[in-house]
Amino acid sequence: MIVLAELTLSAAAWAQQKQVLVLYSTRRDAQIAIVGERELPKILDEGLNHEVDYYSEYVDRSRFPDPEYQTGFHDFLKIKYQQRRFDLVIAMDETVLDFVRTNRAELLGNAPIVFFANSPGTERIPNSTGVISQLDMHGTLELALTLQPELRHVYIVAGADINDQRFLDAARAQMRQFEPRVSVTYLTGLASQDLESRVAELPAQSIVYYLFVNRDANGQNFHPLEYLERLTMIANAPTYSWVDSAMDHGIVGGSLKSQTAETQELGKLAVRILKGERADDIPLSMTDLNVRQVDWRQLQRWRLSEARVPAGTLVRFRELSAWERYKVYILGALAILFLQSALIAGLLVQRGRRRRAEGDLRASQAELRTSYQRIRDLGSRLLNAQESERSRIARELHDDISQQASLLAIDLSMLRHGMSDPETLADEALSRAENIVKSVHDLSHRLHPAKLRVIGLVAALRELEHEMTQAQLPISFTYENIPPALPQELTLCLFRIAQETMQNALKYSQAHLVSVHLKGEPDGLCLSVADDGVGFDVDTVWGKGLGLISMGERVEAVGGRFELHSKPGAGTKVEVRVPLSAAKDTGQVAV
Amino acid sequence: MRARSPHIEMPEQSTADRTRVLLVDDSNSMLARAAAVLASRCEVIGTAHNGPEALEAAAALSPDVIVLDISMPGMTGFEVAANLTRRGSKTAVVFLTVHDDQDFVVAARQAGGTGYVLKRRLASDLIFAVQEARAGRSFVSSIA
Repeated sequence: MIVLAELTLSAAAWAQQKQVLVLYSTRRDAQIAIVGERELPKILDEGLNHEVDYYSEYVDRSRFPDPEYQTGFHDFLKIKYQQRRFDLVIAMDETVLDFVRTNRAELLGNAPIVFFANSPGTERIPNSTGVISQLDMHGTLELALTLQPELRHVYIVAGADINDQRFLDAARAQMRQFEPRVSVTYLTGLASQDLESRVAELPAQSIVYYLFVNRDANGQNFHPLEYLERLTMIANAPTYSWVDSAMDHGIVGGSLKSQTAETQELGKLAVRILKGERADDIPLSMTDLNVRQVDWRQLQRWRLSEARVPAGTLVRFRELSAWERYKVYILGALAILFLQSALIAGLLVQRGRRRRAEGDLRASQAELRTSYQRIRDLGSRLLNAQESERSRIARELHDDISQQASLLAIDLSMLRHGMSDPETLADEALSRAENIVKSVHDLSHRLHPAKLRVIGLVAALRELEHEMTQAQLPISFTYENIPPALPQELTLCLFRIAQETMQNALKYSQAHLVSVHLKGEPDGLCLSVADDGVGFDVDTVWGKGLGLISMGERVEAVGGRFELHSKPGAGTKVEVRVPLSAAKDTGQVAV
Repeated sequence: MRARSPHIEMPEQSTADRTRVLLVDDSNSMLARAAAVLASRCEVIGTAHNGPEALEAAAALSPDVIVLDISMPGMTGFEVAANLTRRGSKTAVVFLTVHDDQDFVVAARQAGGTGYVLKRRLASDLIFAVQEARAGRSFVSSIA
């Protein structure tokens, strides 16, 4: 009585705060305790504007099954909370509800109770309400049968702790309807090594249904989820379970009780009572807290077709394909890659163009340099040639003509002064004068044949034929269809080419005969000069000899075409075609 | 080229048997020599220095014989002769030239020439060639 009075006094002091005790049958680190401690204070604080004095205790009966401990725990709570008067006690499962039922009067006064139970037949104690959600083993097995239609054997695994018994009963009840389609074997209360060796060698078409293992036959304690993880590593068949905390510990899935939902349901009821509702006035909440779910990774591990997963099933831990996961990045990278490729391609094309252009430029520069070099070379050689021709003419004028003219002057002077026989002197003077005339005429002819201008190309070529034949180079000149009048430009061009070619033949060819043929064609003239001499390599000589170059230049100047064919040992042939139309009208000359 | 008017020497008295000659050469010295040589037997009725002058004078004077140089600036003697032939001239043509060449002789004949005299044989051959030409006969200096 004294104790009770004290409790009442204390209660007055704490009137402002609602005092709540949450009792777990499990150990402190069980998943339900973790979820409960995370969710409940939050819900209560929010629902009651932070006026909550929150306590929680863990019976941990699996690890401490001794009746002595239970008595001790009872005494501990009694001493610990003797100054407290709880406004509400939450019993997190049926095991702890049993404890409450037994010890309520002594420990908890008449505090209203909110409880959770799996079994629909749970007896409601006075001043209490609760959430009842059945374990859906049935739903889990149906899921297993959908995923594995060939399933024949179900192995139900549970530990040796007393706490498991209630689950076993539920399992037995629900499994019965699947027999004999599947055989159900209970691997319960075994030593862990025995259990482990069994699950490692299950027959084909089997599954494991894991309730929980807190303790094995040897009294070894386990955290049920840690042990689940260990078991699923060993088992040679897929494992299913009943609670969502088992997810991500190696199970394929199942119709799993959501511990968060469970806690939230309890929290809601707790808030209602703490706000003044009478517990007995609130009907039991019969909620299905089970959610059908699968672990995508386990489907892969056991080669279970994702297509078989029934509609409405939550697929968790799906590993997105690289494409799904990095779609944006991949598309972005592809776009960048494409742009880069386009850019690179563009740059390559541009570089190619530039290189080609540079190549062309270099080639034309080289050509230009060569041409320039050739022109300079040609220029200097032309000057040399001109100089040597001038000196030849000067020599001829001086050595021959000037000498003879001097002698003539001497003769005439002697004649005038009667210094010798006049008749002899006159004869000598006459002869000398005629020689001078002839020398000058020859010189003039060599410089520029009057015959070409006055008579025409054929006559000039005929004379050339004659002269060369005299100079030990037999020439055969023929012609056909020559127009009666030709531009002087053309006749001079063709004559000079014939002259130069014959000079070359005379100097280099060792030819026995040179055939010169002049032919009138519809739109021009063709001159060919062919010898039967030693020939030469055109590529080596072309562009080097002044004679060849000047021939080419002459022909080009009148718009004609110059061809040179020669091979060592095969003679030489020069062929020139000049158009009549292109020639400038510089005077017509009869042929 | 600057055109020059033909210098035409009008005869004081026309004699029926004196051959009327037109001299054409671009050298005055040569014209003077030829005129001197011809003076004894012929009447030099005019001189010209180039083709066009020669054609003008020939048309105006209708000489019996035209003594024509071949190599002249502009028109050649051959061209002058051919032109006269085309016009139907009755004037005989004697070429007086330095071209000691058979091809030239042939060309001269083709051009309508009657005589062909080398300049160096002027003193000995020209009068004869002119007289032969007037008589319609051909004369050619001996070619080397």
